[in-house]
Amino acid sequence: MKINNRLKKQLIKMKKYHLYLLIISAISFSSCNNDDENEVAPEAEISFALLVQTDVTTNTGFILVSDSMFTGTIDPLSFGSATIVAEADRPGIAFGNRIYQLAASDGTQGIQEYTVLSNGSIQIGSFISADGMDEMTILNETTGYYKAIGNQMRIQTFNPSIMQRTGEIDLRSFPEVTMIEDALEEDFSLGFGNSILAADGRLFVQFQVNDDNGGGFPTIRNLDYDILYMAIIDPASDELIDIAQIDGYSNLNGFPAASLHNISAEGDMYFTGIYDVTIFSGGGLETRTVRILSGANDFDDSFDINMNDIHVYGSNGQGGPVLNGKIYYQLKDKELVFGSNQGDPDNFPYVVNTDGSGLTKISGIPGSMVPFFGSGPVEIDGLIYYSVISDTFTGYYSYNPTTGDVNEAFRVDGATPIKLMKLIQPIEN
Amino acid sequence: MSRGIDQFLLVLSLIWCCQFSYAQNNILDHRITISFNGQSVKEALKMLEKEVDCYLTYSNLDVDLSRKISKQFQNVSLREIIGELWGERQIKLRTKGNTIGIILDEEKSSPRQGNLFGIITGDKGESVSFATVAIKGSGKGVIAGEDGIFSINQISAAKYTLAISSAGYEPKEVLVEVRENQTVKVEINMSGAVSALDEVVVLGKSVEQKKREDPIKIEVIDVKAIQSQSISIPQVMNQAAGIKVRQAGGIGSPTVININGLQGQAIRIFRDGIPMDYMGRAFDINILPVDQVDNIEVYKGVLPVDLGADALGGAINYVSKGNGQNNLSASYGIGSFNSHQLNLTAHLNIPQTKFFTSLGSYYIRSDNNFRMDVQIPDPVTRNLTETEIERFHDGIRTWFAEFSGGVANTKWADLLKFSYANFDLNRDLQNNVFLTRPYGEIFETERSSIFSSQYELNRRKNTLKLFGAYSKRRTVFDDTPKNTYDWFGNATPINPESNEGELERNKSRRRQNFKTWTARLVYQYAFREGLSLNFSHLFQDERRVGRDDFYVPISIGEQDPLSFPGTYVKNISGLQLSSDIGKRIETIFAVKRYGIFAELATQRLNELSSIDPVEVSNFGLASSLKYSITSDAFFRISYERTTRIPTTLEYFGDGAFTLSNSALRPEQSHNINLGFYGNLNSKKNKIDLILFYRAVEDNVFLRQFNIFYSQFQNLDDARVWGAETAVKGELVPNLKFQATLTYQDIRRVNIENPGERILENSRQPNIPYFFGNLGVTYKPEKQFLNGSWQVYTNYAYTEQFILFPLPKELEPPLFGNANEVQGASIIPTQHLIDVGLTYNPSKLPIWLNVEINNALNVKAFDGYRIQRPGRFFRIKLSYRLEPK
Repeated sequence: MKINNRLKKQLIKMKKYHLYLLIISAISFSSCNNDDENEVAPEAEISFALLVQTDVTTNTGFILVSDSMFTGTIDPLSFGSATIVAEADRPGIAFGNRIYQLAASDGTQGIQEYTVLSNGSIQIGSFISADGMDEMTILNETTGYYKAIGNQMRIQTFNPSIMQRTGEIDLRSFPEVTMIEDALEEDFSLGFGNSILAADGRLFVQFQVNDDNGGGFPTIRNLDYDILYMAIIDPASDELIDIAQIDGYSNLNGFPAASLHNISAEGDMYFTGIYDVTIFSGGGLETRTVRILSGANDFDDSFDINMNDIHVYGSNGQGGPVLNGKIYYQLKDKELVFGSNQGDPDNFPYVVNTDGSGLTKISGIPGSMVPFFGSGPVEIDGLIYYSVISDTFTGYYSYNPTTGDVNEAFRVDGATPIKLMKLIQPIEN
Repeated sequence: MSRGIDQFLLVLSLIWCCQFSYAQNNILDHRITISFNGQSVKEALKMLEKEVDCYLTYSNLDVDLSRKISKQFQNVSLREIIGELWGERQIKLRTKGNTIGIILDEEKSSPRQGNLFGIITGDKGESVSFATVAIKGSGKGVIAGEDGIFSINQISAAKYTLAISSAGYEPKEVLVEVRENQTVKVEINMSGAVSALDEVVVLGKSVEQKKREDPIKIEVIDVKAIQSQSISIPQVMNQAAGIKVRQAGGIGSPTVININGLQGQAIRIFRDGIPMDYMGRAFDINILPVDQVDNIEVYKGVLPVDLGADALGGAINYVSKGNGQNNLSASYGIGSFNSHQLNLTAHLNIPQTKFFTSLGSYYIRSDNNFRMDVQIPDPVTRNLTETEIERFHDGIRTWFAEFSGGVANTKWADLLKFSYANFDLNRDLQNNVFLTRPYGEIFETERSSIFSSQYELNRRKNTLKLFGAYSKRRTVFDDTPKNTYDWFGNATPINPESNEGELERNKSRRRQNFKTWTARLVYQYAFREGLSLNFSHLFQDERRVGRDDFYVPISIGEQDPLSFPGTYVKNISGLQLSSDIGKRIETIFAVKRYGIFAELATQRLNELSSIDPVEVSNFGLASSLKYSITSDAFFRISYERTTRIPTTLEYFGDGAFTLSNSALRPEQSHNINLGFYGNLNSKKNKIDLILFYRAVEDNVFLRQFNIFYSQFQNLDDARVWGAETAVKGELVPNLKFQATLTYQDIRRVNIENPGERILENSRQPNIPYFFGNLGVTYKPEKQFLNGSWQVYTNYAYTEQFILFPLPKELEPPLFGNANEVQGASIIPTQHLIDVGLTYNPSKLPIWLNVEINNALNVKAFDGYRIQRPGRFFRIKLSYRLEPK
């Protein structure tokens, strides 16, 4: 979709005009009769944001915003509100009408707030500094969590509305955690894993056993420690509810915004990992999805999808949305070998039933090179959007699970699409 | 294969040098009859050559060629006739074929030498500084000192014509007679400044000026003229057009040099024509004091073959101190931030011998604890607040000493020198690149021992220069903290059992040992004046091995990558023809060959192994043409097709998170320069104008490779065009000025990745593209407090530039508002003013200098957030003893 500036200004003017009308109407109605049972709740305005990377060397790009889903060919230069972002290949998360990025526009690590206003412009908001920042999650308007490399088993809490850090939760303050660590042999200790997710009214924090003599990474030096732990914390009290664990699988590896954590309509949480963290010591690529059911305090033992078993070994999949009992992935059709076939356009969309059966390739969508962390499939308004990055096409395709229709959603001209997001403007009362 | 060719060339050259024999031959006994009737000795020698069909070689300094001779020789041997022509001078005759070498018998003739001592003053009795004094017809000369004094020692007793020239004065010729065992004193008075409308006729030009007027564009920065000042080399270089030196902190901090749009690895640095690699960091631009060099040559575009290197975009050559004359120079500087600098250089020609000894040394220490603004997070909210802090862990302590000894001006060597140097560096590291993390214990050290030898022989048409060096360097990078630090220097102990580093996740103490062999051969054959052929070959062999004391293998059985030995061998050859065509045109044409062989163990993902050795060979060519309009005005155009071979880091990675890439292609560039040099509106004011163009292919960049690793890759091309100008002159008597302005447009082109094509033709980010400088020096004629004074000031301007790339359509225009691009990170416009004052008591060889840098105390940045010091002071006391 190419929007020229004049058209854009007209649209903004129209939007403002409609907003004024809406507000005036709302005030008029409310002033006439506060108890009017027929009051129509104002409808939230929707915006769509696309994060694109424009330079690999500096890992910078832009946030582009549109008030409708992008279509046609997008020229990033036609977006007057385009805003420079750093760490472009590690997208943050969208919450309400805000995007929380993992670095400031100048590359300083931390949480940078970008607010998409109803007029389509972007406002660069406040910044929380976090050196070694790697992941975050947001529970609600006032509570979010992040962790950074230097924080050593201490989850940091912040308020996303006023953009301030509010405290921390030290996992080592929980006896259940220290018991695990105390039982470890010398030279092994606990450390954060990659996953952190606020969902289902709880906070899920992954931790694992690290080898102090192995660069602080998990290794297969002691296979007894090849365990994935998930601390489940009550956000109201910051107390530990339970520790879920899975043997033989040491990392879920997933940035929160990387389409690797997905929640079904029922509230079940699906965690997908791309690789076994013992890759350094002989482990390998492993696209695998595990699940914690809504309200449960442990992993669902009956659920374990491993693409190495049902697809190809090392397919480097991007686990995606869960919709109507199906999970949507993007999987490489050959084992990924870094430095060899990384750039081959052979990553294709697949769908599989949540019981692990019926893995099917979705036809009609061209192959893509190895996707970026955040460019896995996303679900927006009932459609599954797949990013395609190749020498001949950079953009998104959409798949309609209901009809099976496949369409070219939009192309991006001269930049690499990283993440497509849907934003909801706060309702003006 | 290429190594074999290189070794063969080396051996061949050495054999050629040795085969010049002085064997006796009967030609000398050839008896002839010849008459000289008032011919000069020079003409008589030519008659002899014709009569005997031989070729006579001799030094102009050994005989008075203008002496008239009238004598008849009847059946006299050639040996005797030549002896007669040389008069009382004792000579030795050597033959090879029909060539006869006439050599002064040093043992018998050495007493027939004398010295020349002179002082040059102007009309009003003022000293004429740095005048060029040339002995006509000999090709030899000296530059007078700042006080107008010069001396030429150990020259044959004879009559000479001295040609003296200095900017602003009428050139002058003076006849002098050097007498045996005497020091002849000569006072030379140069008449007033050249009138504005007169044609300047400079019979002799300084070496520096001659280089400036070379067909190859060389910016010669006369450091000797400003050695009394407290100035640093980056400051000196920033005063030149087309050059930008940026520092990341105080003395010793990382530096980026940009010449005509290209920077980093594209620029090579030399010392006396030898690539600096063997010196380690001893001559780093951010350390080296101005006292250690006579001048700095900046090559823009084309490199002559005797600078054997694979520079892509230019080079810097430090010309060491010393013209072979006795001297002693000492200076001590003290300044803000507890900075101390001590220099001692000396040269002694041992009397009655050909031996000499010399010393070059410096000691530097500084706390570099200037104040700067940093973004400090609130301990609770982690919101950033700009706070002024004092740097507390950025100190440097370093010393260097080089002792040399040898012989000069013998019959078999103009110079044979052996040197031994030692270098020691301790430097702290204060922060990470983005200034978000302070460090309090990280430091690095370097210890070097450097042996070198130098041989030079200039005999008539042949010039031979040989250089060899061996250096051992040990470097340590230590990140083994006991504490963590905040920006105020407060320490918090780290758990002793922790393996935590300040810079990296784990502690490290990386030790590396380098052994470097360097050899260079330069041979020049002059067919005639203005036509010469140069051959140069450079050989470098660097071996590296090391270890990390705290290396933790991340897989079983893994070996520390630093412990694998690495080899990097470089051979660069060049052949250059320099010629003039008529009086107005000078040309240079050169071909070069670059070759490297490299072998190193490295890491490929989770596999550590030795990758295939890299062997690269490439050719380049260069051509330059100068057209003189007058003796002081000319056009110059040059072209070079040049190559930069990737470094070991770029080929092999760092053994950690930078992967190897043996498929890297060398960067290549087409460099074109077009320039004009000449008078502006009067003879005193000169303009130097250059247009430059660079077309760089296969730029090497470090790119994210996957989730963990980065890799150097060939990406895109770059196009650079720009213009630089320098205007120098005298505004009013005794008030000199120099103004420079540079614009360079550096653009990414031919972007291959479709996901980046929006940046096609975009400006290369994070590089200044418009900058200038204005310097004014006033030296009043009248003395005050029994001494001379000099006041100077310098204003430096750098236009704002942007940290990250922007599509061309979004670029702010020159002087535009870069803030209009939302989220743009800007390095703001910089205005810096330095002022200084130098006092020289008339009766003492002492100079006292006071300098205030950043006099307006403005916030200035060389890089994003990289703040320069505010106002600071330096005082320097210099003592220079030169021959009287």
